[in-house]
Parts: sequence; structure tokens; C-alpha cells
Amino acid sequence: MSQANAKLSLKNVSVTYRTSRGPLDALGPMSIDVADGEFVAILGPSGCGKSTLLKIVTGLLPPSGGSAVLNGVPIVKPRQDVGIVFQQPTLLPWRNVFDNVLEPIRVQGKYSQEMHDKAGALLEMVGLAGFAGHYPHELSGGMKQRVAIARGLIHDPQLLLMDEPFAALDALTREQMTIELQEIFERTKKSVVLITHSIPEAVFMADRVAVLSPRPGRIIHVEKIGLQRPRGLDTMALPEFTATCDRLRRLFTH
Amino acid sequence: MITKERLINLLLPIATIAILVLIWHFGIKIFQVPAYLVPPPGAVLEALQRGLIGGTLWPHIVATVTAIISGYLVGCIMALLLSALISEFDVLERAVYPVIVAFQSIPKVALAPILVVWFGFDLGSKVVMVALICFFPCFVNTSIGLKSYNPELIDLYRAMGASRWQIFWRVKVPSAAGHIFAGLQISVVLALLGTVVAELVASRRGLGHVIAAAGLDFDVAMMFACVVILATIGVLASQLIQLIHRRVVFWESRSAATTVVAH
Repeated sequence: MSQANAKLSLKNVSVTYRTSRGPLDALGPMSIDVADGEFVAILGPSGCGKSTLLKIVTGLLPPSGGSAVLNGVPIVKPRQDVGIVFQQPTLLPWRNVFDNVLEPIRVQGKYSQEMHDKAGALLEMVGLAGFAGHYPHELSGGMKQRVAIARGLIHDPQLLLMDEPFAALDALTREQMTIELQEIFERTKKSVVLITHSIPEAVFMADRVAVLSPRPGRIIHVEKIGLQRPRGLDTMALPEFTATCDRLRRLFTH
Repeated sequence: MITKERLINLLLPIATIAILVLIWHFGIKIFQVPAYLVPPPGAVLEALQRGLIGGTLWPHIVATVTAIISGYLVGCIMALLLSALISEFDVLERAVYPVIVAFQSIPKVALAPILVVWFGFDLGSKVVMVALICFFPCFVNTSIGLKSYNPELIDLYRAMGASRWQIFWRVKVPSAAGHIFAGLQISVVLALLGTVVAELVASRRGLGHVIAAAGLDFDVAMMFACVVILATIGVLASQLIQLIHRRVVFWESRSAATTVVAH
């Protein structure tokens, strides 16, 4: 993949925290490119600097070294063309579902009738058409996370960044959400970076899986996933799927 | 609609009060307590009638309620503004917060005579007294509330490109709402206390003044009557705040945010 058509390009990015016990290398140096419309999963154990990576891409934390470029513009501060979905839904409890989805638009002062309609369409896409007027405390964990996904997409971001979005859900809901997110991705064709520690989740959804080492997180392996799209329940039964998962699993248990 | 359960919840405390009044009534008779020490309920009722229907108490009730409301508003608004400033400016917090906490250990009731010297009889000194007493619970609870946001929500807003002002109003203030109301709830009861103390010390109007004056006349029934009126005002005020609390902070269960700071 050439640098030219990369949506997100991380080059030798590293982060060192200054702590009372001296400098702590949290991340990298690591390099990876995400192409337009590509789904990249970042797979790693806890404490490999995944959250740090998230902060760099969102512009909340400047890298100590290297460069991060999104859509041709270096990421130096928070910007409005990234959509984020956290592990917890992080919705506003005092706003209903519809207003939660529209919140980024309101914050950015871009509210219009068109956006209003788009919020409705997004809610329909994530299967919450009838819940626009509900409040978060009236929804299940899976439904809240769907609202968060719709909110992450409302401002038509260049990149959707997801930090273990299903980790807080029960296993059954998680599996269902994984399949649904897959469908959403097929429809929106966004560039996605998914941070996860679930191997099957990464393999099922991603075009490429980048495996991070324990702290400081470095990319130790990149697996290209050749599974045919659209992917569904049948995909998980394919020998190719199982074999890929197995190969990745061995990287952690050598 | 009033459900059966809510009706019972309303009636049960009333039944308790009725039983207490009965004990009061017969206790006095059985132990032959003289009426100049503890008046029978009937005498208190009669005093209430005299004051309320005769109309002599109304100007005092108005004076007391005016002092409560204005002192409460002044104290709480100052508390809200200051805790908002402190929550946003770290230097200010480190400079001011410990001082305010230290000042809290002064028994403010002891300041009442000084306040009378400074602000005169009646409304002036009362408002200052009440504001001083109301300030702290509201201030501490709001300060805690403004820190009780979900940090991920702040990250999300910053990543959206939200300004500090937007984060404050859209995330921090609503997150603090439950705590703010807990503070308002404590303060409203204290407002009553502050008013009565100021009125007892020196005032020509208000229920506290009536109690002091009745005390000189050994009119214990009237003193009791004033206490009953004060209790009623207190219960009504605190119920009102609770009602507003539930309406405004509809997303939190009632017990979720109650940081009680004792006086």
C-alpha cells in the first residue's frame, strides 16, 4: 500500500510518559497506514498502549516522536473528522437517543434539517428506529453501544475509531453486535481502526490485523485477512477463519 | 395520579404525628405537667388560631419567609458561582478551597451579634446570616458534583473539538446536577435555622422574634405555635426542592447523588 492513498498514516510514532520513576515508554515506535475504506484491527494484550494510540489518533495526545497524519493533515490537536466509539457507551444520560446522536453536530455548530434526517437514518441503520425518544437509562447495554456507533458516524468522519467497543457487553450481545457492525461497515465504507483484544472479533471484521506487543506497544505482526465479504455467521465456520485465528493466537502464547 | 402506595406513604407519617400528639396530650394529664412548662396541644392550637385567623402572626411569617428566601438565594448563588470558578481554575481551587473549608469550622451562629452590629436589625443581618449558613453545603456539594463527570465523556468532547465552555455546560454542569440539588436540599433547612437565630438575637419582626417575645411573657403556647409554623415552612420548603430535584434530574435515581455534609 502506498503512502499516497493512505487515510491514516502513523510513522514511527512513539509515546513516552514522564513519571516520578523516570520516563516510561508506553508506545512504539510503530508505523501503520490505513487505506481509504480499509478496516484495520489493532490486536493486543491489556497494557500495550492501545489507549495511548487512541489518544494520538484523536489528537488528545501529541506523540513524543514520529508523525501521525490523517487525510493528509498532521494530527496536532483534536479535530472534527474522527468518529470515536469507546468501550463504555459514554452517552449523555440527560439527552434522549436522538439528541445523543446529534450531539457532535450541535457541538460543532453544524445543525441543519439535513443532519436531523441523517440522525434518523443512522438510528434506523443501527436498528433503533423506534427508540429516538428514549433515554439511555431505558436502554440495554447493546442498544446504548449502537447509539454510540450512530453518534460516531453522524458527522461523516474520515475515520471511525473504536476502542474495544463490545468489551462491556455480554458474550451473546457481543457476537450479534460484531455481525451488525460488519454490516454497517459494508454499507458506510468508512476507514475504521478497531482496537480490540478479541482475536475472532479482529479476524472477522478487519481487512488487516496488526498485532501489538506488550508495553511499549510495537507492531510485531500484520496479518492480511483474505476472507470474502460480505462476511456473516458462515464466515466464522470457515476453516480459513479458524486457521487465521489460530495463527494469531500462537503469537501470544509462544 | 396518586397511586395507593403513594397515598399510604403520605398517610403513615401523618399517623405517626397524630400518635405523638396523643401521647403529648395524655402525657401532660397523666404526669400533671404544668401548662407554663408544656402547654397541652389544645392550647397550642388555640394560639395558632389566634395568630393565624386573628392575623397577628402573618406579618412575622412574611418577614421570616422573606429572610429565608433572600438569604437562601444569595448564599446558594454565590456558592454555585464560586464552585464553578474553582472547578475551572486549578490555581483558584488550591488558593481558595482550603480557606473556605477552614472558615466552615467557625460556628456561624456566633457571628449573629456581630452581623447585627454591621448590618442592622431585620432583613439586612438576617439575609447575611442565612447566606453564610447556606453557602457551605451548597458550595461543597457543587464542587464535588462538578468533578463527578465521566472522564471518557470529556475525552470524547475534546476529541469532537468542543470548547472548554461547551464541555462545562454540556457535560460538567448536568453531571453535577444531582449533587447540586443535594446541596440545595441541605441548605434550605439551614436557611430556616439561620433566620430564626438572627431573629432571636435581635429583630423586630419574624417568628424568631415572636418566640423571644412570647418567652418573656411566659406564653409557652405561642412559642409552640411558632415552632409548629416553622416546622411547616421547613417541611414545605424541603419538599419543594425535592420535587424540583426529581423533575430536573430525571435520569438519576433519587438515592444516587446525595452527598450529605453535616452542618
